[in-house]
Amino acid sequence: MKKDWFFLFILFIILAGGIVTFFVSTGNAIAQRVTGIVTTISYVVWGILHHRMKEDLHAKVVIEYVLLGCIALVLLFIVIS
Amino acid sequence: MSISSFVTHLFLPHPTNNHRPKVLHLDALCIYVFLFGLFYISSHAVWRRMPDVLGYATDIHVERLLAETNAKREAAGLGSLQLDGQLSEAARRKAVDMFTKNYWSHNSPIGTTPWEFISESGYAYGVAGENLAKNFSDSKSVVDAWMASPTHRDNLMKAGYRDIGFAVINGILNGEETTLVVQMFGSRLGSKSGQQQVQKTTVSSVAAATNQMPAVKAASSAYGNVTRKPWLDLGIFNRLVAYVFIGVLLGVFGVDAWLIQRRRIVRVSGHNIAHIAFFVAILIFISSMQRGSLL
Repeated sequence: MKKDWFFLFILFIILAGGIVTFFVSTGNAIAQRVTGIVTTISYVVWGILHHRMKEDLHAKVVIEYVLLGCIALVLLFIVIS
Repeated sequence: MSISSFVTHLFLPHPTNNHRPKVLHLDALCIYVFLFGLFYISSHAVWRRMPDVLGYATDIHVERLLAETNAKREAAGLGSLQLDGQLSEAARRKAVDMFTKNYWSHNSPIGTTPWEFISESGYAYGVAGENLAKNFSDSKSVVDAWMASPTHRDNLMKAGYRDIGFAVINGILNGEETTLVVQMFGSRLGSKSGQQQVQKTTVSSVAAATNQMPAVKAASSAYGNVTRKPWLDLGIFNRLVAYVFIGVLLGVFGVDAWLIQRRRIVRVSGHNIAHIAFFVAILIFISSMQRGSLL
């Protein structure tokens, strides 16, 4: 359980870093797109590592993180375009 | 299947959906990616062909840009800038050149600098600067974005400037309808600040030229205002779609996490709390996002 909270803390650091970078990149659509992509990839990698450490990594879980990442990116690109 | 059991099947973990809301199943997630991708492509296709039907609302005026710029300067204890006809002409020529040669940069593909446009307009500068913006929805958001960017802010808040010129022009850049805002600063040679060493200030530039055919079409009678009101504002509509979808997704993840914890169900799936945190971050991205770009 402690490990779970530690991993969630890491995720919050990643997401907070993404949000701060996103705000700093105001007015630069390309930088904001790159920030969105990097944050999403970090999230997917985090998910895979997290479930691997918990020893419950399954192909379905990987696909779930990848698909949610794709949905987030498509939504970001729709709004930023 | 009754309506209530159908809703339960869709939105709540239940034996009929293998204890995972149907809307979160992998096949459903695939459908969302496909539908949003299709929406993105089709809405852009309509926007490019019929921008008056489905497009981005724009309301940018030189008077507002000048007022906002001077308000920022006065708040910092700096003098107001005077709108100069020659600098505005230089800005207009620069904007038209960007549409004609199809580039988004401080220097043209053939190397023409902003200073050449200023000199050609007859303005003998001692100090000069240029800020560029494209695709913002209103005057205030343009100036706010410049103020949020350290390099543009330095230009806007420079004490050595006395005059300012603007051009706001709508046209086709890189195949897309684009509203350009060119802001040019200066002090005349011989004026108190212009006697300083000749200094030219731009912010970093990135050439973005393509070989597509240019097309310039002024959307306003002058080059000082661009007002466009499409039948459906794509900017607002896109945000609405994203907000509603993410809102529903967060709600389903939240209820699912609570019920799974409460019922002590063990299953193979992602971490709901992580999904919620991720989509809250995406929601913050989307709500703080501006369509416009600076240079």
